[in-house]
Amino acid sequence: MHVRRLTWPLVAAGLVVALAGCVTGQTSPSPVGSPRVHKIAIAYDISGRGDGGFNDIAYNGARRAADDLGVELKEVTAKLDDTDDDRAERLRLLAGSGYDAIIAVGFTYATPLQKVAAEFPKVKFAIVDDGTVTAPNAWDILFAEQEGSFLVGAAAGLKTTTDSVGFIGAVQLPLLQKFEAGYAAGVHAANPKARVQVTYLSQPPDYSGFGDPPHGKEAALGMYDNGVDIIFAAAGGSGAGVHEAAAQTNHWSIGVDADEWKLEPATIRDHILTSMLKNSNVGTHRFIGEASTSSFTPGIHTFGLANGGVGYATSGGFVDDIKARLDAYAVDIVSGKIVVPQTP
Amino acid sequence: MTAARMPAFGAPPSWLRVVVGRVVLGFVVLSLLSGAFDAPDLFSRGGIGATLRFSAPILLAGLGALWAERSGVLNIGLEGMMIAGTWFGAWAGYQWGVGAALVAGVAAGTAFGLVHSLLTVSIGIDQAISGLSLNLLAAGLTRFLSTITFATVPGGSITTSPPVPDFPTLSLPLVDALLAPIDRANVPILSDAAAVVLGLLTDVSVLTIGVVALVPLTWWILWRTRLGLRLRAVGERPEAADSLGVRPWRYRYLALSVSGGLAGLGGVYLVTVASSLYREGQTAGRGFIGLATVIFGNWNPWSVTVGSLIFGFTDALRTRQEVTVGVLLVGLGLLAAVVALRRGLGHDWRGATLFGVPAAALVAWFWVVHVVPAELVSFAPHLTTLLVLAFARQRIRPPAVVGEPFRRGDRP
Amino acid sequence: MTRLRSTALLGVAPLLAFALALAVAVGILRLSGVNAFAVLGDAMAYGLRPETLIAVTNKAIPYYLAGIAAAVGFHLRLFNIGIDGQYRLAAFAAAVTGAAITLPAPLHVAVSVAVATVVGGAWAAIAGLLYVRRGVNVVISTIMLNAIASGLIAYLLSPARLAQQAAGSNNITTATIPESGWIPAIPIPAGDVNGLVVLAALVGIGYWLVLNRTTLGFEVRAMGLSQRAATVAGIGAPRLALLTMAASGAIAGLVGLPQLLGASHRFGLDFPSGLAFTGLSVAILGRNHPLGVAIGAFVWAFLERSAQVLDLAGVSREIVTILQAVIVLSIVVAYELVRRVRARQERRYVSQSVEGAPA
Repeated sequence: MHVRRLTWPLVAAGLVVALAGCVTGQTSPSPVGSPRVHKIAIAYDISGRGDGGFNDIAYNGARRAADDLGVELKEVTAKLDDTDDDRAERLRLLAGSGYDAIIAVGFTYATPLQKVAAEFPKVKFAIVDDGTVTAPNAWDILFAEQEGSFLVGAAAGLKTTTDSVGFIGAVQLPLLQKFEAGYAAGVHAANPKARVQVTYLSQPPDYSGFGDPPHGKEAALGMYDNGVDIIFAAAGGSGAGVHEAAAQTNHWSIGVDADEWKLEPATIRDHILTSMLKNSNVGTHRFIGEASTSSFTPGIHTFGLANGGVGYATSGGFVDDIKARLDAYAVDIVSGKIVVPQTP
Repeated sequence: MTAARMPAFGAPPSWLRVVVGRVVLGFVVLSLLSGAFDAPDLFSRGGIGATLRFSAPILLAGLGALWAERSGVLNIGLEGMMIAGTWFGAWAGYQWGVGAALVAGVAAGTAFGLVHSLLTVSIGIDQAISGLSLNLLAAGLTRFLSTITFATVPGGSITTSPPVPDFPTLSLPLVDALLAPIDRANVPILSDAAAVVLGLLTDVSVLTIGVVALVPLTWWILWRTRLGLRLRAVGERPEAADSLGVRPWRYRYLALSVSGGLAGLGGVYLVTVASSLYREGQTAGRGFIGLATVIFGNWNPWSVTVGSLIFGFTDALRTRQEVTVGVLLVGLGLLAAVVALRRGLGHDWRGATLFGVPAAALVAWFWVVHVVPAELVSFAPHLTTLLVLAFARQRIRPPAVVGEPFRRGDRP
Repeated sequence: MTRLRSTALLGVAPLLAFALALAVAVGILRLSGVNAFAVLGDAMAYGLRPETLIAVTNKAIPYYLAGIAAAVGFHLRLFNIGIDGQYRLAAFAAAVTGAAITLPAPLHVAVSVAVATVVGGAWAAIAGLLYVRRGVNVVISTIMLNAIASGLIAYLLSPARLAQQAAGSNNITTATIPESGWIPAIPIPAGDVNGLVVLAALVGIGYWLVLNRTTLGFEVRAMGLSQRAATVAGIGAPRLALLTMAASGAIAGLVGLPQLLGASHRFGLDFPSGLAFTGLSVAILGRNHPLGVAIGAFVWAFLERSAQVLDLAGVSREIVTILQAVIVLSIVVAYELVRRVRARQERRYVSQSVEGAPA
């Protein structure tokens, strides 16, 4: 097989790059951990790493796991005009090159992964944000984004002084509508009088909404002009524009995925009320952990409030006064007393 | 095309008067409509400010396309030049301030413009493929540069720069004190007019003012100087110009440098005024929209400006307040109805049906749904541009040799 | 003699381009700190595996169709940027119709293909009509129509309307087309070739025949060479422009079918978009010739596939993008340089044979 012959030069090339400092973190050449996972790979969807949010966090989880095991971590990214075949071929190439724990990020990998997982029964796969892949060697990692969004929605409902709050989504996708649904439910639970204004920056397959801060900023300015005083920015890279608008007009915004208070400069962070945390690192880290042991349980693994998959951020201390109420909502969600809707 | 019509290119006052008249008419109709539908303001202070901020980068790309095409070279690479402008603008801006951002962004765009001229003017390859390739090249290059620069500094990543400072904003004195009360008073038309003036004259970025000034400057250089005359001659009759001693490549190199520089400035605008950081993919096709406005504007800087304002205005409406788009659609429906009526009065029954049916359908549909679904709102700027073009039948005449390489002695 | 020599020169062009591209590629790879030749060798080895070549072929099919669609417009200098919107709208309509009906296999497929052709053609015809009747430039109208097509699909592709969302999935798709509506793959020892390759070949042949063996094709070519001369000769420019746009759109309508009828059998949020820009490049690379476009599509697909190895070797994706741009430019520049040399030779030849005439 050509593929096998390819492996070693590839590893060598990877090492050269790592030594040259082009790759963050180091690749440890001497595996000391478990023999079950030798090389880890992440295949991202089109947005790729560097989003300051979800993909980066997913990477962090895998990075930590790779460091724990002392193995190599490889990243590859999809292109906009990829067909299922392209994605399948990408996974195949990874699996054929000795990567034995492969994480595919995004629902677009669902169909290709279903096919490739069967071709490489010894390789462990995971798909993030999709629950339809069924294979004995695959994890489906889902997040209960609606639960975390409910909590920041409740925070917005409690903190608003105009009884009008906003939601800005990057692209109108079912995934982001889960955020919207949870947020609106949280707002109404905490403040039945409050109204929620909703807007999405672009429509699929125009994914520009994920990386268009100017539109994020103007959408937010429009909402603030219209009486909204808190906006939840589930808008990927465009969120920076929303936070900027909040700072410029002295209102609140809410971050997403990461604790954005920690990422933004001082002038802006004082306007970030809280952030909805989507701890994708928990999912990827646990997957690799399990892939490297003998007990591998395929199927859907949901990460929600109960197991630390989602949450809300308290950095800045702006929600300290309502923390007790938010935590009470969290308890009710975990216990099932509150069932948060997933569609708006 | 008779000689009598030809001088209409440039900026004759009569022509401008028509445009201004139409813009004012459109404003009055829309203002009355938004009152009639009890919809949120179509014309608000913030909305006009947003219109300026959305229009400026598109206008810069449009002017860039204008310079290039007037000299006879198609510049599909505007998007890439704008990307270069965003990256280098942000890279210099976060370290050394807005002045550096301006210089670096414009220089990067100009450099790409020079590469484009090298490929299309000196070597003479297909202008479209050079442009398309430069777009690819800019996207790849900036990503590569991000990995070795932004990714290594705090606050940045492989797709994002650290925050970039903003240009200062200016307000005309007294305007706010005088007009803000009128804006708030909710008098039909008058309040909207006050809002427009407020939006245009208060809290305007210095860079926006500079961009606006580039329109008359472009017109003056291209239509009132010898340099401009020669540059346009090169875009119409390169052989004739060449035989008179005007070297086409020299003017095309100049035009493409300016073109790239303008697109680069558009990039700087995006990372400083429109937002305050570089983010990969931030140009989001604005270069292509700019390319469209130059056709919309019939290769004339004034109407390129009108084109980018229409796009920016509609984009601002749908981004700030989706509901307002419905009113806009009704306005367009009425416009179509008026055209249909005029056709009917002139016994042009086919024309009347052509415009009347969609007009009736549009208005009736809005009557039923009342709210335009978000998915359809997303393309409001594009639909508006298309419809305005379709209604305003115009004699579009591009510069004669756009797209063709000039080779001395190549032609019979 | 001279003729022979200049034909030989034409063969030099691709070699020159290859050398140029290779030099730049090696330079860039060196800059990013990789052993350039080892990595390129691996990419080649991977790209030339039989399995990969099948995959390359499958990837080239939509590029080829998009390239032919673009080439059709190029003949009349109609820059159809709208191929993107046309194929997505067409594929969506074909997916919805294909899933809604049950017919015997050949008929079922025929209906889907027909729907795609008609929808693609009709959507492009809007731009054609606006151009012919209202003088709206095709570049501008197709850019706008792309955005409008996206919005329309987003509106219709909703669980509330023509689509569905499976439990646990973040995708929204149309219903799956029943098996009678699929186009089976062609199995060969190294793998499965997408069955739509036959359709692509037919489109290529049809394009060549219409262009070179019919009056219509003659009119199109005449108009492309000189609009004034063609108009004087009585060829109706508006009719021809409208027809050309519709034909370009009809072919564009097929671009999504290899994915729809040959692979996914449904249209979803994950349906590929942006194939059209590649189509434009491929058409220009192939100089609007059906075989040239085929080679262009294949080369482009080969690059995309082999690029995956570079990705794996630690050479980042962005460098692959730079390489693609450089390779295209090298090819075009090499062609142009060779053309110049040939033109100079021919001019010398002419001036030698026509005594006393100025060069």
